[in-house]
Formats: sequence, C-alpha cells, structure tokens
Amino acid sequence: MNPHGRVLASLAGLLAGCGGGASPPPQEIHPVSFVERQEDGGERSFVAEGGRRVEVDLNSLLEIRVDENRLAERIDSGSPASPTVPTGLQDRVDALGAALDATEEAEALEASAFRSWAADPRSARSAIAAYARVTTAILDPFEEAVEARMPGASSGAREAELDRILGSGLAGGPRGGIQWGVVRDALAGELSLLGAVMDTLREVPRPGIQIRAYYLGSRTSEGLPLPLAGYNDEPVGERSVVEKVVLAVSEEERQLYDAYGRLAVQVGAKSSAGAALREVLEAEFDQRRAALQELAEAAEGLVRSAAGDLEALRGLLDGRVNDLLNEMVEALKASEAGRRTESLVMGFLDPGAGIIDFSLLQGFSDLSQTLPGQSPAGALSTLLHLLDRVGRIPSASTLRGDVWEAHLDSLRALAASVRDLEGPVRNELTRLIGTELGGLPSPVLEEAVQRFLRAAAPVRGWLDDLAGRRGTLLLSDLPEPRGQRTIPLASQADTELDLQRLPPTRTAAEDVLVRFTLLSGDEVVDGGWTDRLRLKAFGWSARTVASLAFIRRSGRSTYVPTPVLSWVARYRPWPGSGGKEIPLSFGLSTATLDFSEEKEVELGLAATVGILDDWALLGYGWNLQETTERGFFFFSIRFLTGPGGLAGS
Amino acid sequence: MLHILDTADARSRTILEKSLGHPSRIVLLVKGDVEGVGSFVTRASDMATQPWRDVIWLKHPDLVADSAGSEYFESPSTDDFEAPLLGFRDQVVTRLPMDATGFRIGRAFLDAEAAE
Repeated sequence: MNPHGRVLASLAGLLAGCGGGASPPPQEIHPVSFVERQEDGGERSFVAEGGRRVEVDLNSLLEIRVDENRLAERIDSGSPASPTVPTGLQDRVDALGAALDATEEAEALEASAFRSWAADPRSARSAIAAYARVTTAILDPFEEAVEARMPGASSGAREAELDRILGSGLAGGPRGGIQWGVVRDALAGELSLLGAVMDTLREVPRPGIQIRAYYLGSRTSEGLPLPLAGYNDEPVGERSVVEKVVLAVSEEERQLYDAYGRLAVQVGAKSSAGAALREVLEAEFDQRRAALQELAEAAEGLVRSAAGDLEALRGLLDGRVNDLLNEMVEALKASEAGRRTESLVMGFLDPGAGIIDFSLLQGFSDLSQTLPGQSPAGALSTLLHLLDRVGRIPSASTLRGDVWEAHLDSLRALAASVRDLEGPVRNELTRLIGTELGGLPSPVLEEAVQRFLRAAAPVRGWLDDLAGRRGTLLLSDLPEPRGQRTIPLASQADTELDLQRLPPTRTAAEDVLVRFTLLSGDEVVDGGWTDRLRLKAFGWSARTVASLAFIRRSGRSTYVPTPVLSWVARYRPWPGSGGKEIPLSFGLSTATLDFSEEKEVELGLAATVGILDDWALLGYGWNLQETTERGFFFFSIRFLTGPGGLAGS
Repeated sequence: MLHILDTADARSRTILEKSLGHPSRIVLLVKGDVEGVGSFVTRASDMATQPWRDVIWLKHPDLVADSAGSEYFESPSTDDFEAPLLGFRDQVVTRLPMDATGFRIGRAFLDAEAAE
C-alpha cells in the first residue's frame, strides 16, 4: 500500500471514530413537539424533552405544537389532590341520596300499614311503626340539610323553610298518607343545592401552559427572552438570514488571531505539541492540571499518530488524488457489494459531475508567487477572494444547494452502498496494511483519536464555559419575558419561534432554551421542563477560524506555537434527510512561519482537516518562501472562542 | 281523623275513650280557648289523614277537667293551650307548641309511630 492508502485508512479511522453514535431512542408520545420548517422548504418533527440537545438550523422557523389533551392529562396527574369536599357536606349528600333511595321502600311500607289497618286496626301497630321508622330516617337528613344551609337563621325561619318545602308532602295525599312525589322532589331539591355547593368546592382550576424561550448567545452571559406569539409581548426583531458560507475573515477572528499570537510568544518552542499545549493551558487553568495533563497527553498521542499519515496529504496536493480514489475503487471492487456499487462510485467520481475535484487543490500552489509578503490573514483573504471570484474548489459550485440536490439521489445510494461495504472495505484495508506494510498506524491513529475525544469532552465544555461562550446559566436567573401569559389548554396553545428573528449575529453552537411550565389555575403544577436547542448550520457552511497551532517543520522535532487562520468548509445533511454526516471539515490554513533566519516574513499554507466543530485542526502544508524542507505539520486547538473570552484575560 | 268535642256528653267521652284506648292509634289532644288554636287544629288535621292518627280538640271545659284525656294536660284551665301527642301506649311522646308548622306536626306523628 502506498501512502495514499494510509491516508485513506487514517480517514476511515477518523470517520469510524467520529461518525458513530447510538441511534436515538424511539420517540415517546409527547405533549409538546416541534416542527422545524427549514429554509430550503423541508420540514421535520421532533420532540426534545429529557435534556437531549436537539440541533436546529439557525435559519429555521420552529412551530411549537402543544397537544392540549395530553398536556391536560399530565397536569391532572401532577396536580395536588382535588380540593376535598368537607366531610359533613359529603355525609349530607350521601344521606340525602340514601333517603331518596329509601322513599320507595317507605312508600311500600306505608301501603302495607294501610292494608294492615284495613285488615285489623288493632294489630296494625307494627306495620305502622315500620313505615314510620323508615320515613323518619328519610326526613332526618332532609332536616339536617336544610338546617345546614341556613346557618344563623332562627329556628322559626328554619321551621318555616321545612314546612314550605315538605309541609304539603307530609299532609295527606289523595288517598291519605304522605305525598311521596313531593317528598322525592324535596330531597332531590336539597341534593341539587348541595351538588352546586360541591361543584363550587370541587372546581378544578383550568389547566394552562406558559412557554418561554431564550436565546443564549455567545456574546452575552445572559439569556435573551424571545417573542412567542400569544405568550408574551417581547418585541419582534427584524428578520435576518445567516449566510452560511462566508468567504471573508471576520474581525472577531482577526482579534482572536492576534490573541493567539501573543500566547504563542509566551509559550515559545517546545519539544512536543503536547508540552506546548499543556503549558498554555496550565498557565490559564492551574486548577485543572490533571484534566489538562490527560488532554495534552491525548493530543500528543494524536499528533504522533497522525503526523506520519498526514505527510501523505502531500499526495493530494501533488495531484495524485486520482490514484488514491482508484485505489479505493479497487478495494470496493474486491467485494460483492462493491461490484454492485461500482458504477455508482465511478459516476460520483466523474470530474464532470463537479462534486469533488481534489485536483483543484493543485491550483493553490500557484499562489505561492502572490501570497508571500502578506500576513496570514491577508493571504487567507486573498485566497477566499479568489475562491469566490473564480468559483473553484470545494467551492462555489459545490457549495450551491442545487448542484448538491442534483446528485442527492446518487449520493444517498452511494451512502447506502458504502454502509454495506464497510465490513469488506475494512477487511481489505486491514489485509493490505497487514500484508504489505506489516501493520500500520491506522488502528493506532483511530485509538489515538478516540482517546483524544474522550479527554477533550470534559475539558472542552469547561473551557467553553470559562470562555463565556456557554456560560452556566441558572434557569431561575433567566429574565421574565415581557407580558408573559398563561394560555389555557382549552384554547389553541400552539405558537412559533422564528429563529430568523434572533439577532443577526447568531452563530452555530449557540443555544435556544424553550421552557415549559404547566399550571393549574394560577398554581404551578410541576417544574415543567426545558428543551435545549442547539443552533447549527445545516447544508454547506464555511467560515474562518483562528486557533493556536503547534507547527513542526518536516525533519525537525520541535513544535513552535503559531497562530493559524483557517478557512474550513463542511457539509451537514439536513436532519431527517437520510444523509450521513461526515464529522470533519476541510479547508486551508495560513500561518506565519519562521523557518529561515534570513527571511523576514514567511507564509505557510496548509491543507487542513477540522474535527469537533473545528475545535481541533490538523494540517499539512508548505512554507511558500522556502524551496527545500518546506513542508510542515501542525496541530491546533481553538480554545479561545470569543472576544469576550480568555483571549481578553 | 279530626274530632272536635265541644260537648261533654257521652258521645264525646266515648270517642275520647275509644281513641285513647286503641292499641294502634296515635292521638293528638288539643285544648285551649285561645286565638290561633283553630289554625293549629287545621294544620294538625291535615297531617292526620292516616286512619290511625286522631286529632281530638277538647273544646268543652268539662272534658278538659274531667275526662279520659284530662290526665295528659299539665293545666286544667281551658285558657291555656296544650297539645300533647300520645303514642300507641297513650304515653305523652311530645307536646306541640301552637305555632308548630304542619311539617313539625307531621314529623311528630311519625316520631310517635316509630317509637312503638
């Protein structure tokens, strides 16, 4: 296997290391869902509860759909026990109900007493008594109910009320005896009155929902309340679309570049990139020495493992990319799945398709006559200007959505085939590496990447927090939106959040919080929940980033810290599109070098691969002023993330 | 049934004695030559449509002073209103006031009957 094969194997390792991830758990039926309406006309639905941060495009419109019935059920289950009806009241209701039920028996007993009297008056006493006992048991709760609903009334008034309601009922009916219809009406009337009282006591406050949304920008440590139709009166901002492909060096990155330059001077040359990195970080964060030590060691391992393989990037720039691709095709052909896919792959690689034309990278070496003498920022600006003007490179044409769309179907088919091929390809590469090169660093590099990712995870979040990029915000500290209202669940509770009305300076990797609070009347039923949305730029995006690089000249062993300015582009498939995301970005970097003591200004230009959202960059390039030993490798970490962050400290 | 005994003759005494001596009758005795007694008797009569209920208004002073019912009154004077309600065993179950409503009178009859 030639070096290109090693690069392929290394990238395969990187992809395997970065692109994996467990499938999301099946979505539960949830009372609130989002519909993301994307700028390209696509849409997708998702739920976000549970703290899982969901990525949304920073130019999308989010509809927040509330399932009122499901939410009302949730509120019911979370509500404190329904107001308790006073025991006495409930007892009266129960007794009146029982009395009402007993009227039929009493009526029958009364008839029996009449019959008994008619048969033998002198022996009717028991029958009369039985009728009377049941009847008095009916009248007792009636009297108690009337008395209870007339607190404070005189006994005369209560007697008058009893007589008004039931006096005629106890008086003789047509055939003598009690008028049971009147008695039943009287009991039912009291029950009705008590029922109304109980309904009042039992009245469950109307369930409602409050929704608050906040933008957590990287330029502020506070949450900005966002307007939500119906829920608050926050002013609606002007609509702005974030340009995702930026072909210019931002002022912010220029400032960061200068800050990295000052740090680089402080650090000085080191024997290893890890040592240099550790010194920089430890100076800033002495309390995190152990974590930084681990990160530095992991970085050192990554650098050591990647350095040899990245040497092969020279091959890309030497115009031998077709050899590399052909080698990959040959590997694919070696499998059954590969034979099925061959035509697709060949079509994809057709230079006429204009999707990826690596040979265009060769053109950049021609700039060596024009770039020397410029600062790295100036040189990168020149490059980007050229890219924009001539429409070349992973560039203008490939960054256009319509071009990508035209090939989407074939790419999807290719992606599916590649997935099928993963095993055969891996086996083939392993065989080649094992038999022809006696085992090579691909597995080692893959392991190094994994170790670096593990070490970077906690440190990265911590650095981000310290840099103020995503400062820790307590939910309780978020300001109350103006005119915040509760929307009853009996009405339409849907709303929408237009991300295009966020500040035009919004960028990827910022967050939007959507807080849901459930209420029963004015009472908060539970703490609700907060959905976290991470702004991302889907589709093609490109930007310039500054970072602190540790550069090692080919053939030398020392690492020199140098600020680097990079332009990196990546493609993120829209969520739900079926596309497979490659968690890498590709681009160019410029840096000031000092290879020669004779030359005052030396400019380096390097092909660059970014990982972890460009938090770490790897690159290989040339000193444009040198003619011999001009190659260099660099590894950088972009740990200063904003003008308000560590760069200013 | 309502009995207004305004004479102290044998017929009146017989009615009174039969009623009081009946094992299955509830008897409300009424006396008193005062304003309102007639209204009371009317209300009581309305509550005595059951054949085992008797309302006996002793209008004649001799019946009040000397008859089978005289022993149930606390005062022998006809000037004073009294309305003792007698149970099956001719025991005084309650004494109703003159302003007792129809409901209260009917309820009193039932209580007396239930206390068999």
